[in-house]
Amino acid sequence: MGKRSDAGGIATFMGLVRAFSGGRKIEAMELTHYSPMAEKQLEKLREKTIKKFGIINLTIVHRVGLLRPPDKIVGIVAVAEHRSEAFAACRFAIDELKKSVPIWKKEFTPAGETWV
Amino acid sequence: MKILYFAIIREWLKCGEEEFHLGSATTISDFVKKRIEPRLNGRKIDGFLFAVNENLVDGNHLLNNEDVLAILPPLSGGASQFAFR
Repeated sequence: MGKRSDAGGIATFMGLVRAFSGGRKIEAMELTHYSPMAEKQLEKLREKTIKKFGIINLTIVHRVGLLRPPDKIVGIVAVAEHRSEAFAACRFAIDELKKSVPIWKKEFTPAGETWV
Repeated sequence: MKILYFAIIREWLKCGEEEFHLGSATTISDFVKKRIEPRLNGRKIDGFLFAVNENLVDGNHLLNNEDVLAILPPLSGGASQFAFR
């Protein structure tokens, strides 16, 4: 994407497994999802974000399964002519992902496990 | 009709999926109240979402025997217009 001559900015977001959450030590995090709805929703989100901000491209990669701090959970890359749209698209994509993509997280701490 | 359960409701019911035969047309809300809530030992599913054939719908959606109904715990981003109340 950086080779496109009209690309002026690339904004990225990386979500990680935190080592602490609400004062509790996170030993691991399990992510489960409703596939194939999650994949469909991610693609819809990608198309919606590209159109909304008029950007060149958007890539979203989301992991599932058992992860530990500081593993990467989700990565978003937005490519645009200008940095303003790239930043805005990146922010929009992660905010909307959390509202619309059926993925759930369970935290494992010394005190037990909790769906968050 | 196939029902899929995820995350916490899968743990509550100790079940990932089931098959039901619907004798007559029923809304999701009515189905949940009659066939799901009695098995939850008092736990509530307010705020849960429903998807039929991978599309989010609300509780007034009418179910049929060919559908795949997924009962989805709330997503971390907050309340949805489709949330069960």
